[in-house]
Amino acid sequence: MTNRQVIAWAGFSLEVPVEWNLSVAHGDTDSGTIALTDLHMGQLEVRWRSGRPRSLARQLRRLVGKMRRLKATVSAVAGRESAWKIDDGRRWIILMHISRRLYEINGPGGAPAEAEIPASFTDTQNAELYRWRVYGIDAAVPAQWKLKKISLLPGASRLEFKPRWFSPPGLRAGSWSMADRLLEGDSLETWATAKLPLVARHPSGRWESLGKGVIFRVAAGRWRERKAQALALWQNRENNCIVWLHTSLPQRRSALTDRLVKAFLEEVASSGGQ
Amino acid sequence: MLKWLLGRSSSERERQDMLRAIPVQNPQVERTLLADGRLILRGPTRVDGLQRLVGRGSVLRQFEIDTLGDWVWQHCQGRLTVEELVRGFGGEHAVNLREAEISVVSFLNILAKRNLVAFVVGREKPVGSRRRRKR
Repeated sequence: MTNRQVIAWAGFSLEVPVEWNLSVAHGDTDSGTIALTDLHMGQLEVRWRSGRPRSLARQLRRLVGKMRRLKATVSAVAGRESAWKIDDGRRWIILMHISRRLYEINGPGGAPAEAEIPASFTDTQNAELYRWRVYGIDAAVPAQWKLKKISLLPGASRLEFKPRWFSPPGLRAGSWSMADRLLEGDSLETWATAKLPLVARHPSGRWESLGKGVIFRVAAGRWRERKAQALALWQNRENNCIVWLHTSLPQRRSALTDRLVKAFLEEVASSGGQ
Repeated sequence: MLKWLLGRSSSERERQDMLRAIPVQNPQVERTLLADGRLILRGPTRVDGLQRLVGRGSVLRQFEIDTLGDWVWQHCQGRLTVEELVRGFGGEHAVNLREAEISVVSFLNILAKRNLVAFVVGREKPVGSRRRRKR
């Protein structure tokens, strides 16, 4: 097991020690905050705010000027444009303006990863699909979709997304820990058939294999089931978890379903899941 | 700016104290493996002041635990701190550290409420014979 992990959220990603976990998350793709903590204390906070590029550049200049007046050490971040590091000994803050977003990354001074985190920070706000990666969850979601629900219970983490504010969730992504205990030697298909209500409720659904993952598809019906459903499952042996993605979209959007499932399986395969 | 960046809050200090505490099994508790594979912890209940006044003594109660709970129970020998237990549990079962922390700490709280374990607090490791126990 490596000692670094990638956390991806709402159009950005960064590499942090594997012991850091998400403890606070709120907001959406326009503005929000996430905080990462280890067993002992808060280690990192990322805040973001969207706006017009010119207005954000002006805000950044004003903030940096204010910090200089407060006699904090302000320096440009090497290798990045419009990025400033402010350090007052006890804590550090990085202010970054990228495209239509202003980021504030801060953490306690002297943290071991202080120098590495800014270098690993990647902004993907202009991508069509945003990657969401946390607690074993790994999903690509259309950039405009809204995060509806976060459930990070021990053993079962889940994020729900919907295309618009008032629509039902179109995509759920999650992970179940302790895969070896859940599967007890069975294949994903056998286990899902026995344990997952979605699979048990739809005996007419069909299974497909794609790479090392399995997909369960239910076609849209005329009366009751008006949306086609797809459930992709993947066993990540390295982290001993089952990663899953469930889409529930109208049949006419089957191309999007296929794209999301394919992106999911490619991501879990590339992130070390086997 | 979040509070945790400016200084450690009281809840954070409590959390640090909790992680440094050392869980110790109640020596009166018996662990029994039943023929059907179930694991049982059997021990006396705690007697509070009112119960003592009305002359009611402690009664034996039993609790069923699973193999994960048994792993935690077996490691409450007074040698490992809660933090070491959490890290050990996470490593043993390949679960995320935060998941391990929530699972182990809530299970230890249940055990403590049922008088099955006590916590040694205020020192790194138990040395000597006297231990200050907090229930």
